[in-house]
Amino acid sequence: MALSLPAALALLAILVAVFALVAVAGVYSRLRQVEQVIADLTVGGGRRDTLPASLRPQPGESATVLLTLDGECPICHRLAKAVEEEMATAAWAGLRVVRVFSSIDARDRHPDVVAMETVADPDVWAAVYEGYNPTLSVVNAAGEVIFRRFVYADTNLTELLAEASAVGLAQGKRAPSREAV
Amino acid sequence: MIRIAPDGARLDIDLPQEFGKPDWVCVTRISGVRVQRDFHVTAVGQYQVIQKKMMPGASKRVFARKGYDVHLYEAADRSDSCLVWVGPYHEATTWFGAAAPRSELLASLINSIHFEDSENGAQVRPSVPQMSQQHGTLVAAWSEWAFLCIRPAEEAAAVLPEWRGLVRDDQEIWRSDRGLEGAEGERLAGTAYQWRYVVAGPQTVTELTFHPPGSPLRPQALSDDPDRRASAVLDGLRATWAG
Repeated sequence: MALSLPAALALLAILVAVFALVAVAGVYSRLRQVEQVIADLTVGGGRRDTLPASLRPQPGESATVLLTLDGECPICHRLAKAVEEEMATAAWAGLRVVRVFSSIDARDRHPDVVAMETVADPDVWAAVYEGYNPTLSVVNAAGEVIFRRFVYADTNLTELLAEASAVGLAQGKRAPSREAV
Repeated sequence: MIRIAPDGARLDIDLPQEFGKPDWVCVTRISGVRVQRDFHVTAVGQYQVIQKKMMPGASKRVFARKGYDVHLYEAADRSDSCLVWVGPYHEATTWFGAAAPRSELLASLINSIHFEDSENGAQVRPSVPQMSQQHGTLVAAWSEWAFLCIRPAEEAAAVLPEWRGLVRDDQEIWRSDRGLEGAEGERLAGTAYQWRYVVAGPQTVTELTFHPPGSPLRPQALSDDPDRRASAVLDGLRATWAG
């Protein structure tokens, strides 16, 4: 049976239309995939970078306890004092304690403590600071922050310091096996 | 005082002393690719109630981020779960109403939200703004006396009455019946407790109600002249919404 010219044209047009529909659907689904990929790739924000080597525990120490302090705030002074007292006991042997200040001015408002190391360097501060003062964090040998607490006026410091030292010292027990690998 | 809304807008609020001491609560909604969520932002510490009271025995997982932690709580019977962004000053909560999503979706959700805390408010924004929308943002405050809710004018136009309100400077003020019923309605008729006040400024629409005596929101011992307090709060209240 012979096809008339208009009928053939109509069939052709339908074919083209169907093809166009399939093409649009295909492009749309690819676009959705790309959107999802972009959404998953834009992770960036929020993850912590590893901290500079100068803040990591030295050989023989299991972890670093970092105190991010401000010159003015009374809680900062209380926290530093509590840590100093705690360091006098044997429980904190094997932990490196570092006070981090944003500026020399801020450091000068705190008393000198021989047992604690002190860093007053804007770059180090920028790497450590998490938007609140005072903050206590524990850093392992790989430079990862494994424990971080914001310290408030009503925070139970005894409990906090016990928890932090437990986390830090537990790190020391695990460290040799990791180094062996 | 300055408050930061969850969408990053900066609010400049004059809150008269008669309002009392405000506890701030913010709400926002983010919808985009694979994200459709409501967030409640409150002062930090509320999340402790989840395991103690709301879902006793709930499991907890913590994802650490720089400057904040993300907590995942899931009820013991897996009937409900929530995700809480916990910063140093504020926290943002979103409820799933079901078992926790699988971990790929959780990671994708956590990554798609940008959380930034500050003393004056926490921002909860999409991390890729081009691919999502944020709307329904409001900033509210409770005190022992009253409840206040501030919205940007462009979103709140629908709540305004059709009739003309009382014009004062660049503000327009309405009052509408808040629908107290029965004995309470009769007892409070004619006082400031009967009304919900709506104040429309150039950039914001503010709704204000006062807790009637006997309300669970109001300490028993408080007593005061409600009309004097209402007019003092309405006189002094100013809010601008920038950004």
